[in-house]
Amino acid sequence: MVRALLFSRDIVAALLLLIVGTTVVVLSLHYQLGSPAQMGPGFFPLLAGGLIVVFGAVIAARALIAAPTAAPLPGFAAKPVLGTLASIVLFGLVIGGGGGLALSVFLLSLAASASGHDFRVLPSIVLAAALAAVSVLIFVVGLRLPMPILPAL
Amino acid sequence: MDFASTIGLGLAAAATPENLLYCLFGVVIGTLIGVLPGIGPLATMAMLMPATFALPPLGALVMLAGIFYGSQYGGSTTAILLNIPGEGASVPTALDGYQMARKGLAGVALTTAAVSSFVAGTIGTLALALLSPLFAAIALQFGAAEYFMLMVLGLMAAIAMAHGSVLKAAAMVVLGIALGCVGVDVNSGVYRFTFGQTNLAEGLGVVAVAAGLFGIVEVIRNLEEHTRQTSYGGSLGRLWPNRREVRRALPAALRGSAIGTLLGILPGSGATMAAFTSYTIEKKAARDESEFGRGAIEGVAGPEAANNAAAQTTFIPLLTLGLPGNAIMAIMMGAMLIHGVVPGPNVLVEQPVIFWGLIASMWIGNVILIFLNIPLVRLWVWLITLPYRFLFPAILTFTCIGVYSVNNEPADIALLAAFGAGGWLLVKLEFEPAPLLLGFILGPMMEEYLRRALLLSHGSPDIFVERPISLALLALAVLVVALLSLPVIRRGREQLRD
Repeated sequence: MVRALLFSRDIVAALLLLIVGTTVVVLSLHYQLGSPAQMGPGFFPLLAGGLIVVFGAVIAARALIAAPTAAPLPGFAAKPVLGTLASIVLFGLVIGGGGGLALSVFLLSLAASASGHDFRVLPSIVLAAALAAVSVLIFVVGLRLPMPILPAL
Repeated sequence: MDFASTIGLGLAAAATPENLLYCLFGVVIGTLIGVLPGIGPLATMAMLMPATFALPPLGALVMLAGIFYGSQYGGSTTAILLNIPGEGASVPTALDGYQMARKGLAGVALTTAAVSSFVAGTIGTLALALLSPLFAAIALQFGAAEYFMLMVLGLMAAIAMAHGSVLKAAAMVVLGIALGCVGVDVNSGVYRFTFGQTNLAEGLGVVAVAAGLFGIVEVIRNLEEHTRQTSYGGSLGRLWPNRREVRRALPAALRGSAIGTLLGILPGSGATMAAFTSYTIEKKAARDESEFGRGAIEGVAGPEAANNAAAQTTFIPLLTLGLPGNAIMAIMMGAMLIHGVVPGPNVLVEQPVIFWGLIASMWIGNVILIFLNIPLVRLWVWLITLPYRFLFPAILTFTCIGVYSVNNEPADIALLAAFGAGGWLLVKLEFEPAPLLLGFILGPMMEEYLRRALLLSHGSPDIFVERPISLALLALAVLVVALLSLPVIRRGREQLRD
């Protein structure tokens, strides 16, 4: 019972709001609050943070009342979620590390394909190479974005 | 300036070769993503916004607007052929459009949808041109207190129209406002919530936030749900409706245009609600209600007209009051701000070429769309069969390059991933990202107006009730909240969700 309640969707949602809201409130208190007529930098964020906490508390209260019929926490498919995010981070690391646009796109596309369904190696490599070529054509040749194409040696 | 000369000014600005090209580009991409399942106008606009930074302001806005109303056209194609509405606003179209397709009238349904959209687009654009000066004239009377209340009202309306829990939508709005506080506070020069990161000084980048919340989340959700690939096997049949069908469709399209024009103006409402309302009205007005759901042509003409007219008139509050009525308009607003165009009544006065040029381009875009869609229907049908496993790496690629290109800053990619992850978590917990984006865009302006209003009143909140326009806006906002708590309305919202 307690376990089911703790892992109900709305309880987790409310906890998330309470944590975020409290963080905003605490951080806002570090800035000058001022008065309503002369608001300091902390005034408005404090209001926003306070409201987040209030909404979190109301959602929590309603979830506790509705506890027996609460919707459980939904499951998730780890591979597409983590794989997609990881491929984005990979793109950032490669392009930020001077890997050039072509290589960054190639790796992003390949990693993304691998995190989806029906992953087939050869078509994915062809797609990644095609996207790398198209990206270079559109963004560097066409739109003249100041990005290196190939890795700096 | 009189009406004819302002329209002339707009047409001259919109009909330059470059702007025609941007318009064509926008509506083609819009139609494409409307047709393709699994990518919506929000994600596409966020993805392509950086590509418009290099364009002149008018060209950029023409293209982004084209993506939006183009997607309304495209969404109806998949709704009719596959019973998969590409956008929420095409859901009612699927009800009767798909049944028409099953009877071998797919071509007629598609043509009816395209022509109705064109009629509505023309009426909507005309309404936009006629009504905007009136709205702007009212808005010129606004002071800080009125603007603050207007934004409160806009956010209330967005909460009212969100799917699911009202409380959760409200929480998202405030969370968005809090995220909007990140960066240098313009009044004191204090760095807020930047954690020593200098690249956060100008706040969280709107491109990374929007692309993460909509683009990345959409990709992850599609991969998680692993939607089955569908394709259209049937033939299109004849394309043109016969005289009897025209006589039924035309009045429906005109009624739909009127409904869409009106509902589009209301903040929070927009194309989806217009389409649903039009469908309900057509069903009530029909001589034989039992035909609905079995391929009634009115059920295609009305909602398609309504969603397209609304797509045009949702620009009215944004362009004249500076109030984005939904998340798509919030992205438009973000793009306008980046180009140094502050949405509001002053656009009309100070930048008439941009204002009338954008409006004229929407009508030109509708002309392009009708010439584009009827001959290209077969191409769109073929595109639907494109497997998602080829599509999503391309979406991720263009999103990442777009976000990176804003500042050539790898930290922006980290931000994109963070908002993708955070947005995904929120969606899993049944929070909607759209109200969050609205709060994020409006937050900094609300803070500024609140400060100015209270500075004027020496800290007294009475200023919001002493000024008549502010009081009226406040009353409307309270009315929205009161309506939300009525059991009848709550049930209605639940039904709309299902």
